[in-house]
Amino acid sequence: MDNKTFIDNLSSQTGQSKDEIASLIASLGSIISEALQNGDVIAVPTLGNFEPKMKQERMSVHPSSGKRLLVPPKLSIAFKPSSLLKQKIR
Amino acid sequence: MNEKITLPSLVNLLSEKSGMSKKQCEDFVREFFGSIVSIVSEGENLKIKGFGTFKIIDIEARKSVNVNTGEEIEIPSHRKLTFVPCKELAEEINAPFSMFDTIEIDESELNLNLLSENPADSASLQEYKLEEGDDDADDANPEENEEIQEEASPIETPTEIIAEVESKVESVEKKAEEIIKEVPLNPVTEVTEVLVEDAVAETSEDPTEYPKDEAAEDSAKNAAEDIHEDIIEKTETKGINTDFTEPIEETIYPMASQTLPPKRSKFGWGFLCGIITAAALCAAFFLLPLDKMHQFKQELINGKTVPSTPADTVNTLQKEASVVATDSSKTTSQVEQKVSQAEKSGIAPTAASDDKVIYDTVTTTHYLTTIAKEHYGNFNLWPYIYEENKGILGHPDRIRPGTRVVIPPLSKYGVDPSRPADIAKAKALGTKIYDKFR
Repeated sequence: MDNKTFIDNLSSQTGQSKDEIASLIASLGSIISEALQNGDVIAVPTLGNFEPKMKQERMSVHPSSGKRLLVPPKLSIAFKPSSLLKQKIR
Repeated sequence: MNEKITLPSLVNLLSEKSGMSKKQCEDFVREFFGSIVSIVSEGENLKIKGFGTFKIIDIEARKSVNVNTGEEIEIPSHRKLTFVPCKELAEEINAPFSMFDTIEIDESELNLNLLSENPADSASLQEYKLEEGDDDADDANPEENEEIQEEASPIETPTEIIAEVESKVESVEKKAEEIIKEVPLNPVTEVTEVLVEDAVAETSEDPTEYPKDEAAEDSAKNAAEDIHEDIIEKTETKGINTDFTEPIEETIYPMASQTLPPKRSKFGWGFLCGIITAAALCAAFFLLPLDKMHQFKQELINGKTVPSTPADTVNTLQKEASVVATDSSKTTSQVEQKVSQAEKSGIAPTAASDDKVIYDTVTTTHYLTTIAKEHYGNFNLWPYIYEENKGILGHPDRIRPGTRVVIPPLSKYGVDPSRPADIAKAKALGTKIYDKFR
């Protein structure tokens, strides 16, 4: 499902306009982003946890050229689905 | 930092940011995540702008091993939910490390590192490199020279390698020769110096040490030769390696230093012997005349005829002293015997005089508890032994083996091993002692 239909669904369920929903989603996204930048974990009981994770630097080989690359360290988001959702999807 | 943000706090933040009421925000957040869950659990992918994509991926069945039993098990194919943050979100999160970029590493540098790590592989690596080079050449003109190069390359590569290896071996041999020239000088000169010192120290004391010394000199020479041979062998064996100068020098100096310490210790031992004999001689000089004086005094007291002049006695004493000086070796042994006798007699009376006090010695197998069991019939009574010897004991579990402890009579503490109450008291005392060292 793409973003548009998702917003349509939400607006029909909550009774808010599409613009309101879009702005709310944007602000929610920025809140989550800020929280993750602070190193906090966002725990949503039904969905799962979003956690910032530090990835160490590593050596890798370019698949086509065969050159060795040093990949720098990186902060990324690790999403761990709740066990209930895992079972549902499985 | 590292806080857990739950749904209510998320709602609060959202209402602050958007200016909407908390009720509305809560409804929205619940609906937002609720619909995500419902859409995803239906097996649909979901893309949210400014947040990311929830994707369901299929995972194929794979074989694994049960960690506990070691049995082979098959993990069945299943589906898994993944979340990929959108570009903007990922960049914001990675802001602290955004200035880094992937760096291409120079292949030659890497190979050098590998060479220094495991030089044995250098030849194979060179082969590998050459083969790579050939591949590149093939790519450049694949149609024309393919057959020729395929024929040529196997011949070229070995000769090149052999030439390189030979040149390296030659350089290795040269350096090895240089090192060998240097090597014998250091240890031999040092050894001879030490030997001279040894000789000087020992001549004054014991002529019997000479043959030993000569033997030691021989052994030292042998050792030096051994080092020499060892080094030659090492250089020869290491000849193929690329980085060799540093390692070889390292091997030389430790070996030289290894052979030297025993020499020095021997010198120290000889010095110690000299001091001991000198001390014994001095003791003989002073102690024996005193004994004579004592005898003389006793004679005086007994009322024997007194010699008119004390000078005679002095003379006799001097004679005695001179005799002592000439028979120094005999007297020293006598003195030592006397001293040892005195020591024995000194210890014996003290042990014998305190008949009532019982002693026992702590060893690695004979402990306070075992002593208590032996003397009192109950190992729980060990704290009383400890209390008696508080002054010399530290931690009850870390008593140095060989420590002599006094075994007090139990009546001193008013303890009867047959009464359970006293045993309990002893246990309490034991815990108190352990508490002290906590």
